[in-house]
Amino acid sequence: MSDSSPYQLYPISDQAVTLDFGGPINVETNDRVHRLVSSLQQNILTGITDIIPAYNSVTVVYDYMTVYQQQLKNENKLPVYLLVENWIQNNLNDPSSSIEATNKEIIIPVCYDKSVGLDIEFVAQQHKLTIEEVIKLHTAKTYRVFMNGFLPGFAYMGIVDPAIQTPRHESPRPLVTAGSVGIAGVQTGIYPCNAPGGWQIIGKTPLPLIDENENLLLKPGCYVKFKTISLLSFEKLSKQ
Amino acid sequence: MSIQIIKAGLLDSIQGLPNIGKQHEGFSPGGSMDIVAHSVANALVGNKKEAAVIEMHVPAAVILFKKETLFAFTGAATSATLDNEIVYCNQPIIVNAGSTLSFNHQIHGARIYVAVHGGFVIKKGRLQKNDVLATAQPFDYHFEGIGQLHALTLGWTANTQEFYRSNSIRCIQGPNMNILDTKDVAHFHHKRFEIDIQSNRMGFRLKSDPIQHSILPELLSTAVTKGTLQLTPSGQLIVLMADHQTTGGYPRIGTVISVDMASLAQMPIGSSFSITWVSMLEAEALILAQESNLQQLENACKFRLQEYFSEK
Repeated sequence: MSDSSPYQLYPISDQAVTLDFGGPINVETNDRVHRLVSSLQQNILTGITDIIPAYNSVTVVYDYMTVYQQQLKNENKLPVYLLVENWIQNNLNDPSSSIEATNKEIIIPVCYDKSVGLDIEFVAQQHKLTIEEVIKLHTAKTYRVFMNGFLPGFAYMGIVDPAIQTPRHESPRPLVTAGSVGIAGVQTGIYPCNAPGGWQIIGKTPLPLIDENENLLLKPGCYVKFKTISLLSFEKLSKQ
Repeated sequence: MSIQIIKAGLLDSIQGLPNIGKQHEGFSPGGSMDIVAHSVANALVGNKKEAAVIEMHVPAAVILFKKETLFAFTGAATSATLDNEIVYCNQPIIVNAGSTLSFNHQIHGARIYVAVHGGFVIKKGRLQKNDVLATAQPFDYHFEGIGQLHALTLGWTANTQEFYRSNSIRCIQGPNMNILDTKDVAHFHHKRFEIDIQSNRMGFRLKSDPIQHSILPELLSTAVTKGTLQLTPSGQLIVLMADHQTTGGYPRIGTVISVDMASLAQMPIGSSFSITWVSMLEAEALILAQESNLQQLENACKFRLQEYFSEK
């Protein structure tokens, strides 16, 4: 997909603008997202406070007053949101921008026991599979981290094998515990902390996803493979 | 200088301005719900805008001042008591050591802010009974006039009325407005939205006649902001507040403009409002006007405090 293919650009608040490439979840579009983010970071505009990549969109949050005061100096009469939109557009085809070819693969140990994988039996029944087959299908693939969001350190990963894709619960659980591994449609993810949530929980990892300095284990662009561990080693590792 | 929480209220916390630069990792910006009340409280005591303040709900905490200091309260409370004396909002107040501040009456909003000269060492976090909060800078003045009095009010009040509105909240239209039934769009300004009991610092659930819409599209998660109006499958809205999640997958029909977030933050559960659509240009002009008013107020406070302190 070339960087000249169509996109939409629109304000989502009076201090935030989104560039939306559209389309389904795929690696090509997400690569475009992260190329654009990297170009924006390299050519940063004074007053930009956050650049937030998602599956197929980039959102830029800015401080209106800072951008406004900056453009007063440049004798620019454009409304601030159009100025920010132009800046984003000008970074779309930056030939120097590239994304770090991390290809970093992170192995995540997961216990798929029913006692922690609260929905694994349900997922198996939905697809007329055995629990072992669900585990096999979930651990067979290498998943890409597309974006962070929802909770600090939560990574949206995909693409889940169609044979085990399962929609979210209709009403979310009031509490999903930290480390829970879930499926929501084509996506898979791990809850970094206790939170309410609607994903189908099929297992749990003892690995912390965020350290005391707020560094994240899983960032966009890296790849993840799940490795099954027993309940006993899960309990041992959890105590470390 | 320090203060102590001697009786906890409902969700008392220390808050600053929103955090920036971490939303791409899933960290919510947070910060004071009512940035106007936050800024005015700081201006009144000579603090920088970013100094941490105490945010309280109703019932509010009871606070003990352990040393003489300068403080102010803004937001939902018109008055409070310092031991037995009544003191008023939006004024700088010199308080004597050992005085106790409590909020028992005259509440007209949802959140109270208390700023103390010098700000607090802690920048954020929940407060509990017996917590002691040290100020980041000492208060090096002593007011001879205070003697055995609990408090001495300096002679000026910030007028904050122009920053708040109660009946309608202004919004810009969002990217998924097109899924609304056209008839519903035409009558949108007649709809009333009531703040539901299930509302908190993350978001307000709004109760209204269900919004008629076409089948909700399957949307990929994308970034959301403070003020985003999310349409849920039942046709009800959720408006995102300070502690919002960074991304969401619900259709977004609009966003509350920045200058009206303070008014929304002060609406108590059960109160209601209508939505007025405005353009991006209007929203931008309103930020500029509000910022200039806040700046004037800040300058006036600074000038008067300097005058007061240099006379001593």
